Amino acid sequence: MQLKKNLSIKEALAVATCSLLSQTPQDALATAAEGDWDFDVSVLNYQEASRVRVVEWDMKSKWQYKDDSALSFSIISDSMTGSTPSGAAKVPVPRSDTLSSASGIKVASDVGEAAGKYLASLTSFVDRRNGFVVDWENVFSRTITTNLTGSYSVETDYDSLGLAGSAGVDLNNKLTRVEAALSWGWDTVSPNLQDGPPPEGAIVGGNGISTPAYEDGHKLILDKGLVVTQILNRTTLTKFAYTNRRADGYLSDPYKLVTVKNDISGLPKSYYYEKRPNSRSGDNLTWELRHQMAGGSVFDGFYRFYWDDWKISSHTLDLRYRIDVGKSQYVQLHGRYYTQSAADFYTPSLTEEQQQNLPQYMSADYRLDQLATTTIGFKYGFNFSQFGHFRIRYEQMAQKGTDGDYTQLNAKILQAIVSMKFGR
Amino acid sequence: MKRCVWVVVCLACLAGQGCASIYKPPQPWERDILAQDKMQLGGDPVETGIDDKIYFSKESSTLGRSIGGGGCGCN
Repeated sequence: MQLKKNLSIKEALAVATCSLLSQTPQDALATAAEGDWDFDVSVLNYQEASRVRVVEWDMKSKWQYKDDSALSFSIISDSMTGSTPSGAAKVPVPRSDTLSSASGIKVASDVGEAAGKYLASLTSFVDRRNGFVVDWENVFSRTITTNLTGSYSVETDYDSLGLAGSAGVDLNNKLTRVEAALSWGWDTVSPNLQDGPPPEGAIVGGNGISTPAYEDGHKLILDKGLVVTQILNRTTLTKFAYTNRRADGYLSDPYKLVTVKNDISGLPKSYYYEKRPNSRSGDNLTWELRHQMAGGSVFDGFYRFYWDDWKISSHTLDLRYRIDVGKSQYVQLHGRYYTQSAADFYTPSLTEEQQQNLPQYMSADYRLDQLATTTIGFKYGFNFSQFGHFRIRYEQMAQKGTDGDYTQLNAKILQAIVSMKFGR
Repeated sequence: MKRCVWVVVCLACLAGQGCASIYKPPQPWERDILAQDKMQLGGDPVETGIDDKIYFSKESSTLGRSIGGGGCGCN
């Protein structure tokens, strides 16, 4: 009887130990532990004050197999409307600066005496983006996993094709995980302009756009990454990562202009399409720490340092604090601060003197300016069953640039997500 | 730039030192807390995926918490 009892305890311990030993740091990070089939639906409403609005639907379905390998399929659908700064300078006369049209550069139509003379400083657009992502996680051995991802998205004027692969190995009794990743992307830019994509740096002539036909622009994007995840103690994890992105090809924004201003009046004299270098290499160092406190609250801190050969460098600090409310609900506070330096070819406008000797590269895109972004947010989550999880978050983003006509951007982010686990 | 690199190096050293003092590796049977969904590094992937896209569209730094992913002609 005693022997039987001991055997039973041994068996139980063996099962428990095997079960625990089969857990990798990847398991500790995984969400799909309990179901054969996970399903997520998310809807986002992103609204800028008087500018861009994006409504995005994401659906993801994930099948988990017995050996912990998994296949997932995601569908993304965006609807984008609104207006965005074109780079054309604001004209200080009563006028409607914004036009309703498809993506592209349009001549301002309601400028009183100046009708047709100046280009709109805000161009409106309507576009839709549809895409899908297929992901295959494969458990190669007890300590090695691989991942392969394919993605494709299409907009009226932009296609993106991507392929990414990674391999990770668990070391140090599965306390450390080292992962290497590679990604290849091929994007096609086909702007919605009358005569096709503009040659970068070309002058915008007369009262409208006159450019020769031009083949679609392409860009090749290669990402490399090395990630180290470390379990520090029973309640703390940390992750260090280095990533690099190299992009080559048509890196200009085909809708963005640079304005030459009259030295005396300050009014626009002429416009050029922007021109950016045809290559860019950017590096990231990131550090993340996640810690669970005694009461079950979770703190997450993320820091990123970025620098590239366009002379942009940035710092990002992202903090989240989750507080459990009872057994099935929680709230999460979120704060993010970002600051970047300007690209070395950023210029809000050009002088007549600069026009005589045009810079090799030039852009008035406000996103290349020296700027800072602050975001604060609140999230509420609710486990409505053992296998169902709903959460909703609201965030406010405020961005402030340094130099240009549109230096202030405020946006509201509202996202709702439902996740379900089925099977087992 | 040099100053930024030094700041990062100093932060990394501090982080390393801090990590060393709290480094008490758990045994395999002590990883129950780390296996919880809320302990997933990177947070809620649906949420952080959206965030990466928003900030990629509105700022000039590329790559966030992951590599690859679909590009866009974002405004």
